[in-house]
Amino acid sequence: MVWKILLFLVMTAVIIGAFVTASPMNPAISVGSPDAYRIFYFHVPQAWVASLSFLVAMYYSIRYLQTRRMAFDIRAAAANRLGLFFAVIATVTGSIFAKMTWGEFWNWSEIREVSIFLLMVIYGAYFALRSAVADPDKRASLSAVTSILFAMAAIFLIFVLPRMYAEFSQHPSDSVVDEEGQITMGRTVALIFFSSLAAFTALYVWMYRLTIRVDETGHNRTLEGD
Amino acid sequence: MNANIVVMIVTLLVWLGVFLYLLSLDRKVRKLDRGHEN
Repeated sequence: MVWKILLFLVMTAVIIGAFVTASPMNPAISVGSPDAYRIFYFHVPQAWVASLSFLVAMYYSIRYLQTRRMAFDIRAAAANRLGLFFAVIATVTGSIFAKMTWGEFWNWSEIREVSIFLLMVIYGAYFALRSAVADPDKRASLSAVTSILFAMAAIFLIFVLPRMYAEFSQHPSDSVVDEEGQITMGRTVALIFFSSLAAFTALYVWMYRLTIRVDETGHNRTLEGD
Repeated sequence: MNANIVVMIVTLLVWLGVFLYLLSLDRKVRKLDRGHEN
């Protein structure tokens, strides 16, 4: 319970800090209102948690293929569900930022917006596949293989593709680290940002544990019903 | 009122709602677990 109270306090402090301190963007080089850049404190941690969740799903999918234990399939599916959930939230916050700075909610020539759209489509296909296969063992095996492939595709879409076609990106570059790996933020911005990153990661862990417990209870009841 | 303060209050209310919802879900899952063990 202590860590939940700590999470509540840290996230509350992050929200207050994000709005009462100066904008993380220098007004002299800001595109649109500098206040729009405050969403950076929430948008980037949401995208980070989504990426983390897809990697967790890949890990448990590999474990399932090694052991054929259904508990690993439940954990992989739960991670993919939460990954997709945070990807959608990151897309919504990104669209709000896009509207306030670039004037449009969506731009098909923005490489990061296109890549997150493709990511959501492939994970939508993952859940369509899961719902289409009735046999639990076959469903788990197919899901594990696609989950591993999709996680690799996610790494490519999130980290590689936007850097390969940087000329098609309007995103602020060097927002966290520069090309030499140095943190480019001031101390206050870094404190709020990394606190937000920690709080979103803790929130994800909490949500993930809850999802697994609910799914495992449902799975056990189904077995008892059989 | 300053727009930043309005957005901050709305965000805090959303966070409070999410936190309370997760706490209530946590309690329900614990009860389910206990019921399942018994």
